[in-house]
Amino acid sequence: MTRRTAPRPVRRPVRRLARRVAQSLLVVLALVAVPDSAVHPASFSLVAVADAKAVDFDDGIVWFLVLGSDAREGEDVMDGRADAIELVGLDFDTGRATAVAIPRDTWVDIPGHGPDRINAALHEGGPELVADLVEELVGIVPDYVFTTGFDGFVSMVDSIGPVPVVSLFTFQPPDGPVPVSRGLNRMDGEEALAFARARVALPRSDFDRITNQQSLMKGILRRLRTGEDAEGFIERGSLAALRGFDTDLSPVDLYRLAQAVTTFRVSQVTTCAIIGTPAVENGAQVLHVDPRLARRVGQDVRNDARLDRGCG
Amino acid sequence: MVSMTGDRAGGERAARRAARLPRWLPLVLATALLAGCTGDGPEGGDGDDGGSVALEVRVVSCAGRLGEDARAEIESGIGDTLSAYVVRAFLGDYPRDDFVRSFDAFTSGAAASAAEDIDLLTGSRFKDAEGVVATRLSARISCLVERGDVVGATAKVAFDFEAQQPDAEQPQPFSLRGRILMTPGPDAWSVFGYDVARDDVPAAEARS
Repeated sequence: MTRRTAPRPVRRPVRRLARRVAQSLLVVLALVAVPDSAVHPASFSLVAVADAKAVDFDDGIVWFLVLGSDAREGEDVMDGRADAIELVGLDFDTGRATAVAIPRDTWVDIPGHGPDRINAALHEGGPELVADLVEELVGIVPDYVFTTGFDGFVSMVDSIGPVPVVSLFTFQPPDGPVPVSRGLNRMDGEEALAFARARVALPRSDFDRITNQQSLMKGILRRLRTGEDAEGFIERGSLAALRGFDTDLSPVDLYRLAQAVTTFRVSQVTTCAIIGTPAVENGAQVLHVDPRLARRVGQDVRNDARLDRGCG
Repeated sequence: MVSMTGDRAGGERAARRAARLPRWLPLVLATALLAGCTGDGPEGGDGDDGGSVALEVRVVSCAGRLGEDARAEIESGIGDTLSAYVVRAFLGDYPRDDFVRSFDAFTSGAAASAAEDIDLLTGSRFKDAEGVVATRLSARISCLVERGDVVGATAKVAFDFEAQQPDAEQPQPFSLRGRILMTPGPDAWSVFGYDVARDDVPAAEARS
């Protein structure tokens, strides 16, 4: 599904010239301080080392809807439910980024289907329907949608891993091969999937799971930034993403996005989850979200991809 | 392999000549012609200038299946774009001040960024030099191929130069290292990003 026909060019520079020049000045000063007998430079000129980074993907804020389908191995991701729903905004002008999670149990009226949890919309109408419901809820139109299932997610993480992930809790994910420790963990694909899916073992159930999913997203960004200089690293990750994600981005634009994402710093990423009131509908646990609250969160992030007031 | 010394002829002439040549030759000849060399093949750039070097472009890794023919095409196409950039950005006929034309092969967004980083991405700091020569030009390519189509590539570059400043006894070395990000187009590869470090080292220190 294409919400934006073609990316617009953008500048995202990262320069460390001032720091490098300062370091260089220290070098020059050190040389000057050396006794004449030690160094006899014929002439001096400033040692200047500087970095420059820019990746042209788009300008302004681009919104991505990232859906994690619970489709199992061999199943079409569209046949599953969207158990992870993240609206991610990247501001290519400022380097800020935000992720707003919509809980999977959010009770909504699905057109053509009736009232249900929002996660059922993926099966009922595909990513476009989920995008429409998110737009109605938060007031932001996703420009692009990514949908992945278990297999695609594991392959993508393994192509760049291990991924450094911070956990708030020590726990054993039900399907995880190893326990998760509070603090920093390094996860391969299977471990990351188990971490992202675990809910029952956590104090706040789905809200802690969302926190873990957002921590995982930050870990992936961290890994992309540390690995980008390795030959073939971004290309391997991009290939895994091409094969593991269902998306409306062209392969070339997905590759450009993968390169551009590395210009974002984790410290510039803000995250939260839309909260609501637990309830029971048709015998199922659901979440009633205050539409005014969801809209207010959307207004908070719409123009600067930064959460100033959180989701509560 | 390209012989590159850039302190004589202009970039446009070489680009025009290169455009008429067989697929594998432009990379070789563009810079050789710019350097004022008379050779007409890969060995043509050795000339009488001791500063000549060859541009080496090699695919070192590829995500996705890449055939030998496609590998050669990638090396040739990326070599064309990189050699044109190096010539316009660092070589050419000094003294000169036309560095802004170095970014013709950049996407519009990348070119706008590059214009702000022009002191790092070109030889503009040496605009009054008598000449600039390349002493090392290397590009190691990592590419992405999906369903037989080349999607994009990263060129890990190591470019070393020497600038001969007026009244200086020794040429001043400087280098550009890092990654240049590229995607293929219908006619040529274009640069959509860069992540580079520029190192200008005083001659006295470099020789010690």
